[in-house]
Amino acid sequence: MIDKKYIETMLERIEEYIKIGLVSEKTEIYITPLDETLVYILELFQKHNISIAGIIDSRKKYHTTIWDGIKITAAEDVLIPYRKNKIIIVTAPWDIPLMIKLDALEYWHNVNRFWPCEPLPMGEPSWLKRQYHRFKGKLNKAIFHETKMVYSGYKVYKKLPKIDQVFYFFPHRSLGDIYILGLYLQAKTSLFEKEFTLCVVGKGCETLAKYMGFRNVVQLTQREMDGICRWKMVQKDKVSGEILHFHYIYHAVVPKILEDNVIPFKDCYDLLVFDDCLKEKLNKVSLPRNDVSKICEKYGLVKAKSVVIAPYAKSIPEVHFIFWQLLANALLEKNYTVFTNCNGISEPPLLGTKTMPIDLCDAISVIEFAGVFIGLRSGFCDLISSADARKICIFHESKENSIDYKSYFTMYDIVGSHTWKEYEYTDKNCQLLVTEIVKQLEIGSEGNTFR
Amino acid sequence: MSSNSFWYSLTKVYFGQRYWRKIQRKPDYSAGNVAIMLFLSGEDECCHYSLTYLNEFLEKNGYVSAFILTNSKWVEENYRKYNSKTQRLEKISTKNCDKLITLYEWFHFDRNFYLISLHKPYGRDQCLKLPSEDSKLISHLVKRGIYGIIDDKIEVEDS
Repeated sequence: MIDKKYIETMLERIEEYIKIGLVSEKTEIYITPLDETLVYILELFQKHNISIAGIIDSRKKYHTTIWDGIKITAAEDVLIPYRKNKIIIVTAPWDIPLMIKLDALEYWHNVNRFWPCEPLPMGEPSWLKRQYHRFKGKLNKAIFHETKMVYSGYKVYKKLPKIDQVFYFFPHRSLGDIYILGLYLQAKTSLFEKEFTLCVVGKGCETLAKYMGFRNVVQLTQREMDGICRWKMVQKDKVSGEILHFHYIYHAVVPKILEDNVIPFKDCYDLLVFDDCLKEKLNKVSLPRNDVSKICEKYGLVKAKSVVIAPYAKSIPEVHFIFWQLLANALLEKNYTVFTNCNGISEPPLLGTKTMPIDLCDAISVIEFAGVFIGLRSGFCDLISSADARKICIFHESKENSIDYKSYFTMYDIVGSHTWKEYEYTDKNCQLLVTEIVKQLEIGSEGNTFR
Repeated sequence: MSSNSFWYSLTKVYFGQRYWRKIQRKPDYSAGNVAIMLFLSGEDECCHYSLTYLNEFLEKNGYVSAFILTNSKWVEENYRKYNSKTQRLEKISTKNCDKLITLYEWFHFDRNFYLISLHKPYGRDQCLKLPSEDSKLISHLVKRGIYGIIDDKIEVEDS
């Protein structure tokens, strides 16, 4: 049984809120949690002719049920998107998962949208309890989280080998960007003139950076890199070095602008990261080729008559598996030898094709040997952009209100890139796209490259 | 404590947090649905476009009015000319401005707080490298970049 005094104080508080005038015609009122007090609250609202939009409860078993004509829902279903005209009445704060969610959604801070109706304790709290509540009120969870992150960055920065004192941080696990940085290194951009250390995320990026000619490369985890970048942003010029990406800066306004004015991916580096324009020098950069005849023999590649399909990517959404399978089937029918660039464990090969994990350092040579490459637009495409082979690049469908992937990540703007065919995959054009790709391969079967 | 130590930075953040608490206690903040905006001195052109688009920004984000904090004399003298829904303007010292900027650099401490500047915090000035006609760049950066207003046509008359 609930104490009568408890209910009386609670109803008094709600009436106070209504009297102040916080409720208008547009406001949606939600009550939490689902317990016996609801009966009394609903009576009160009926008296004032105010309707209730819903009851919020974190227990899944009650979701989608109706209680006295009112829907019971989860907090995230109702409170996201965040709207100003929503009010939550909290009769008791024992539903802790829900309270955490409300805190994360910043409902705590605004009296207009958050009505705590828990009655005050009857007696005077002790001095210790008062101090505890005072401290708890001042504790800001966001600052605690950020401080932890910055501190971890500070610790990692302290541990870095300080031989040359200049650090460049590349914050994403992206092969394509490392390839572009490598091109700038070889074109001798002013930023890379002095001795420096490049910090990258992941083993793949480290291997590629070394292949591209970076001498001092440090491999970090994504968490360490996030921390160190935040430390750089806080310390600014006191940490020698730069963050080599235009999208990363925490409070930057550039990403929003790039959504409107589509500047190709590579040009963003020219404009925003490296100030000097090196287009002429960049065009002359050529990467070394390795002898891959033994590797190709091992996997059974037929020179200029094999197709390498790369359906997997780490940092971008993947195209539907059915498309790749239809494509592989169509190519097998035309008597091509088809390989899937995958590790064979977490990434299974397409049915009827052979598994071929390509080492990043040998990628250009292997693709030139095979003759045809068809792959999802990922960092791997950047790496092999200058290879002399027939290359087809598949873009996934751009979402509404988002950048146009095809024009932003176009292969034509990558330095040294040539002989690419670009297609956009949608759910509707799946079969048509397969036919078109096979047709293109037959037309260009005489030469090494597309004309 | 050296200036590049972690604890030195944290102390500065603490003072920023303390100053922000002072602002939170003001009736302008607790009135509800008020955007708190910090305008900085030395960026008059940015301030001009920010005040021009202020009403549009407030409407789109569901704010009733704006509470302006500034250390700029220009803003103090001119903000009434723009007919913006400004609740109140408070002149604060440059030292206090820096406190808030330091806190903002550390973390985004309040959903309703907006820093109107193209140079601070660290990294924002990168946007000035974007190609555009000189007269339109700053207005576009303010409207789309800082305020996040999506509009196809950007036409602003210089005052």
